[in-house]
Amino acid sequence: MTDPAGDREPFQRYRSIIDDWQAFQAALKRPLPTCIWVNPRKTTPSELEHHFNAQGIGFEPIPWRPGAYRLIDVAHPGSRLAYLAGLYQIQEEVSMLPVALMDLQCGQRVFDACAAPGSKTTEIAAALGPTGTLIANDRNFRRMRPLARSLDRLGLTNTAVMVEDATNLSGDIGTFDRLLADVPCSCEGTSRKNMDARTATTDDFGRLNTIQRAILKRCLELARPNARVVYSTCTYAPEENEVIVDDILDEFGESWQLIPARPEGFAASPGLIEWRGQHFDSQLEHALRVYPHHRDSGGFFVAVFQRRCP
Amino acid sequence: MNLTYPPAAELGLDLNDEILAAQGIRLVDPAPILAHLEERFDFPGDTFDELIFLQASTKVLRVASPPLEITARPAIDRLGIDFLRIDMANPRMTTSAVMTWGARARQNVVDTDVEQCTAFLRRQTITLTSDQIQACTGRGFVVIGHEGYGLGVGFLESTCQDDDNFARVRSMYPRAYAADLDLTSPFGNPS
Repeated sequence: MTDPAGDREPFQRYRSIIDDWQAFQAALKRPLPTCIWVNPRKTTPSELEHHFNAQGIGFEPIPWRPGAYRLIDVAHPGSRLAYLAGLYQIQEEVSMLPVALMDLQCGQRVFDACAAPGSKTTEIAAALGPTGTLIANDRNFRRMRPLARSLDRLGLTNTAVMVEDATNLSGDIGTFDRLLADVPCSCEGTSRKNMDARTATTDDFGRLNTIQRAILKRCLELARPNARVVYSTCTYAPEENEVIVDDILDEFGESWQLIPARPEGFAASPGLIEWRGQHFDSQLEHALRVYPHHRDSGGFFVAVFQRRCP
Repeated sequence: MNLTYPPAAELGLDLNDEILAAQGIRLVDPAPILAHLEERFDFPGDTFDELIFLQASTKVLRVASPPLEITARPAIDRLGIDFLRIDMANPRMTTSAVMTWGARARQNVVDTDVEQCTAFLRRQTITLTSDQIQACTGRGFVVIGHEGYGLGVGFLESTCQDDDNFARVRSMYPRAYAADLDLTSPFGNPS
């Protein structure tokens, strides 16, 4: 894997913003750990730990995310009995960040704008409990099939699935307490599991930025008073992260603010307030940038919008 | 099974019938379904208390959790999870239903050993032991589990010792799920 420009090391364009370049490059060369979370609909962490011990499955808890584990040297975790029985869901560690930051409460109405393939969606549904309602949306019908299967396997009964274009969603859908805009992106941060991942280009930004901005904007418009909107991507590119959030703060800053995206026990980097001469709203420091060497994970970006009190 | 579709209020539910109708979803009276499941599987009476039963197709009933804050539009593609296949003479619980509630069944439950479990998950016919047969009331659908976890549905061909198919259980595990296990074992051993 190299930069399109032919650089020996990938993602050179981010060298100036990554806190430990050597550690970053070393992390990219390691295989990605397998992480899971316990399905509270069917079991408890202690029961699953007992099952893992009985089956000889090695694991270690993820300290910042109760009920989540890294599996150690487990081949085919998606074929193990506990998975087939719906006791756990496989999900990359950083991919658990948005839901942890949504502050989900029983009885809330929640919208997942770009749900496919559905690992965050199922995490929301499980955390929300049976008294909440999750509307899971994606415009790609085929990519939604794994979500339906996951909901069935995990026994999650609080979710309605729809196939709509989130950039142009009708107001008939109503309003929500929590919204997740985990938008389509250039996926640079997935390079440890996806050999096709590469440094994003200007063409990528041109293709994606309009969609990213429109989805985030639509989510803010569909929010209830006191709502929270979480924006996330799995890319390093500030053009898909800080630039989008800064644009939206420009437009909606009177009614929305960024709050710290800092799960307890999760150390990473703050969002940027400057990139290649472009300066961003100082609230961007509340966003979170995760590089693979921080938690031996993929790369990720997350920003949390909280509606201001009227 | 004769299904009826009363208004939500008649079932004591705070749901908007017009919204459900606009989405092409019918609320189903659960009484005959619950009676059917109790007769075959002896589920405790409160097992399905927190669910509503919905019909959006001629093939499958789904279950969901109220209050279900949905709107008439945009169209919902799927609501809740698959629960009961109704396009057959003898309705059967879906794999997802058995995976979620099967562990609470008190009869016609087969707790498989490792070999049986692996065979079931590969859609192979399994043969029950005499102890397993004694937990079943007769020919028909059975819950297949392992160590207390519900995994899917099987069809017990016969409990009559003179029958060629005595103690045989056909696996109804979905083909798509089984295909994922072609090269691996659910117990982590080489295939």
